[in-house]
Amino acid sequence: MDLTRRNFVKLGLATGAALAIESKLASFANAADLELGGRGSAVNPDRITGSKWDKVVPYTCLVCNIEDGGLAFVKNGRIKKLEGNDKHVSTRGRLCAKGNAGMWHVYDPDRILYPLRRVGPRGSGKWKRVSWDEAIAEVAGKIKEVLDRGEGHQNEIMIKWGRNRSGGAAERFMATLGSNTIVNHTSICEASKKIGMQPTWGPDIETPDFANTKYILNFGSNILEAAYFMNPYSQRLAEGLVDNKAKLVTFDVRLSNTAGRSDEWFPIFPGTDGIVALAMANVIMQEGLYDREFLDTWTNYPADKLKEHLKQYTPEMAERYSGMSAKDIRRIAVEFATAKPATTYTYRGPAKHLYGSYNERATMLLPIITGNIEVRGGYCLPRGMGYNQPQPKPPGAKEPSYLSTPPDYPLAEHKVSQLVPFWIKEGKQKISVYFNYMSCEAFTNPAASYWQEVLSDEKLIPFSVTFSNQMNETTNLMDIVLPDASFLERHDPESMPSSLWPWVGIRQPVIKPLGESIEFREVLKMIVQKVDPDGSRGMRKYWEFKDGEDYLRQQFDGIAGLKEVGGYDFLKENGVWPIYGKLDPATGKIADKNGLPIEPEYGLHRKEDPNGKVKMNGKSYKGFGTSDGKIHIYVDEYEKYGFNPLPVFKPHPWHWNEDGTSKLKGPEEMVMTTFKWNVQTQSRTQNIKLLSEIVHSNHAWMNAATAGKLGIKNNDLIRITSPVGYMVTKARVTQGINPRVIAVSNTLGSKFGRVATGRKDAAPGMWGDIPDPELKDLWWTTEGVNPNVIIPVSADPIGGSQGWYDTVVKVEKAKAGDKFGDVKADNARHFEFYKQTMDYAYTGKMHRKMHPEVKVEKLPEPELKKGH
Amino acid sequence: MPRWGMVIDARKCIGCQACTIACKTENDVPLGVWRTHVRFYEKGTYPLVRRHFLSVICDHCDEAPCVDASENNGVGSFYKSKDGVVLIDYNKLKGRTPAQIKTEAEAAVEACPLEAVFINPMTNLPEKCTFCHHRLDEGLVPACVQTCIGRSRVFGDLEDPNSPASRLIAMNATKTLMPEDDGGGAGVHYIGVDAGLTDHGALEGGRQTDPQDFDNEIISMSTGPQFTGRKPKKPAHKK
Repeated sequence: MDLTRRNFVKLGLATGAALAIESKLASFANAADLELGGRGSAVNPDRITGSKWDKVVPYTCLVCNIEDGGLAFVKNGRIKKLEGNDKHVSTRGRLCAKGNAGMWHVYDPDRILYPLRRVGPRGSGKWKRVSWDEAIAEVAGKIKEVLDRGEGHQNEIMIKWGRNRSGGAAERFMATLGSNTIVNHTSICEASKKIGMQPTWGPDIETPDFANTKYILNFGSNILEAAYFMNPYSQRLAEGLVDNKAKLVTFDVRLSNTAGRSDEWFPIFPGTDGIVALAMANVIMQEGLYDREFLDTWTNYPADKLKEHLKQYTPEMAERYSGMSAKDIRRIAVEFATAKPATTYTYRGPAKHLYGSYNERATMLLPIITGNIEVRGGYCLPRGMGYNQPQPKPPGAKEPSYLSTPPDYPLAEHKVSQLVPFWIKEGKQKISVYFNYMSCEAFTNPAASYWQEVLSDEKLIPFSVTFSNQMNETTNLMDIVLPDASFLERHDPESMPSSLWPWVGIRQPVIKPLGESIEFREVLKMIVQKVDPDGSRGMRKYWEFKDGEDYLRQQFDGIAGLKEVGGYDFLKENGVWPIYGKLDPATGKIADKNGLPIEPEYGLHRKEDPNGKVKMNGKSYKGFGTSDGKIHIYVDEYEKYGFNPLPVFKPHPWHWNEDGTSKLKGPEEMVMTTFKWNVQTQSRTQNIKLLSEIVHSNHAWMNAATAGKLGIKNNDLIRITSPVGYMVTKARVTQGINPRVIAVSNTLGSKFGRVATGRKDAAPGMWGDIPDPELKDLWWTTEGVNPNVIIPVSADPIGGSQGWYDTVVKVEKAKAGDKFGDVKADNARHFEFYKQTMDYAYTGKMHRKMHPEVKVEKLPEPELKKGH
Repeated sequence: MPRWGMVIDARKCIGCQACTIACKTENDVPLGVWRTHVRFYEKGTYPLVRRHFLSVICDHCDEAPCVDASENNGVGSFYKSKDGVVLIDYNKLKGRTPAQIKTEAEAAVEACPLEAVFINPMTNLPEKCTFCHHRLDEGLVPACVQTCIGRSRVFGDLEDPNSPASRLIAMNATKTLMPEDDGGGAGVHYIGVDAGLTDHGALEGGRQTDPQDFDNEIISMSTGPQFTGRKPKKPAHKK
């Protein structure tokens, strides 16, 4: 019988409940397995008595970027259920809400199933369906046009990617074409966190040992809903908080679920994490609660000099900016310093501001000075694992790209993607072909309206191609759509430092890709082989793999350790490697042979290593990932460009006068911030009905007292005016937000998708209609308005991150004639803000003014050069 | 013979809604109705505010009001199994007219103060949490328990004093959403839930303990069709 929804329900009940089957306890060898969720190895379905599945296929989730290991259960060719992979050391068998609903990215009723070619003006929504041959031929033709113009034009072919988990395929494609014009999305995200951390200790992220800690200072992360690595870390955080009785202190402008669950919540003013952290560090140094031995042995800045530097950051000064009382600052600092072990965690509150990199470095000081680095329960190094690339590998492209490695941002290794449309407009680089991959910049970026303008302009972007399988604000502006297979239908290599154990994993097709969708790396191969059919361009040789599986074999078969247990075949069967132990159903932890929870290694920096850079007592130690193996509290690279080499606080000129008084006038002026939820990500989840059923509106969160002063009640229509535009939405009046902040989730408000827009009676697009009889049952009213078009660009001159949480807005009751969902943005004003933000770059007129304390005679000339 | 029960340690609940969705995909629960879900409650005045997460699920009561209602208004399709799960025997509804089914179903829906019973809009049959009985038969715990990120939900045999579920009940103060006097306290035991939310306090006086009447998204569960327009009720005392 065909397993449609209705039938499954009836069948399930018929076999289970209606026949009143008593539990077959006797048939189970291990009653404990029955007790508490021990699925054992679900990959071997005959170990489950009465299994009804056709197959169970391991995969890696990609709804967000946590990369959890999953198991997909298939019946009658349909993915019916998703569960966490119990063999995965980070995931430990559990999935979040978004992961559980992952099959709906496959069965999204509005999914694009065929290649499309635009037939009307850009953005008119007029498409025709074309064959793959035709589409590839056109794309290859446009590429050849550029390449045939001779040397020096390759950079006109650009790619803008977002969630690129192709494990090197996209990079290989660009290197094959000889182009360096690669624009990622990282500065929309944690770029400034990374640039705060990398010069300090090497890696770009930390692993807080939540399960074993006693105290957590959480600066601006909403780890229980989003952030890296929500699922694995939330599991361990729950253990730490309850089983280990750890204290969680959260600094956040808004009562996120994390803040709401915390033992203490300090709703400090936006952008002041840095000064609160510096003041706490000051207290810790003054009170003598720091770890002098660690500072003197493992860092490049002596304790006494650090103490001197931090003196200026008094708790009273921090109180003035943040609103957190000096008394609490002192108290929490002492609590943190005396609780052993303790850790901080950040992502992404401190980083998403002008000078976000300074904020990050300030918070990072706290575990450093208290000796909580790489200890059990402390702030640990990430444990990563790599994989290979198929050989031969194309050499790197020759010419540097302004858009990719902008000379005015030499420290922003992760690029400054939010400024790219303005640079294109100003003609910094000529673009002939634009590729878009797993990114919806016309919706997710600040000044989204500016992206829309540039992408619509055929003079600036003569030809554009996307691999998206969702019709959205960005896809709608492309010329050609080459629909990718979903994450449950394709091959990707995977690895993430998502727990204290390194692992590699894979994505593999659970089912054949629906419709005519083809997975990304195979499409790239088709393009290259069409551009270079006889190999005479020297490109084809990098794309001779047979298919996605063959590509991944070449990436995994040779890895020492994995090779011996079967290489890629091991990953096909298990989804992940290594398997560190067996998931114990009684504890939810991975157990070793003796049944005890596996323990990670700590103190990686203290391991003896003949090539180690840190030499002490006649021995060599591994140290950290810096030039001398020590933690760099003092960062020379920053100083070279006139930035402060030590962690400092720079009050945002939009918020603060030079005398430390607030620039915000009246209760109607406040700072707008954005956020994600545990069920919605930045753009791709809106059309997932099970998720939108839970969250389908993004009313603006406003403090109740502030709302009272403005005469605004819950659900009132309000107008939020920023320096570049305004939006009309409803107010969600709450006690859970700083009175000077208004928070609008950036996850909703797309004009595409029948679920996302609530237009359940609309006709499907001509690009594929996966029938979903439940569309008519959408019971909710969707009320989403996306704020991104009224958020001006801002670039941290050090790390490049967008200052998402700095925009000053005016909030008032809606004016006469305002309708819910009205949004107006002024692109000319957006351009002005682009100019203004570049004034803060090290080459800009504001740089020296913002750094009077940095005495560097001559700043280096801006140089266009290739990046990392 | 096991007596199945669940412990929900609210201290470990992070309100992630994984359980809400896992249940839906496991049991093909349609839009607008839920066998289990998580409600959010905000308590306090700025800046001393806390958010509580409450996983709501059928209590699998002894002497359940839905069982009584189904007996008194129909063929008694609702029953409590020997292993402690309140189930619906759909065979008993076969051959009944839609009107007869509706009467019995609506009576059961009305009877439950936890609003745990609903009428499936696709099948028009009454439906409720079954502790994933079809999974129990395969040696698997309910879907909501399997996915729970915080390990807030723990499932097991309450007849076995050494099962982790029994041990949690033995070592912690527990409450139920449904008062024992009203038939509750059998199947689902909560640790660490704000007192105002137990003994069906969560359902009385609206769905928000903050005096301001929020009609807001993060507790959209309470505005879903299963719950809108319904006034939670207290059943008559049994004892």
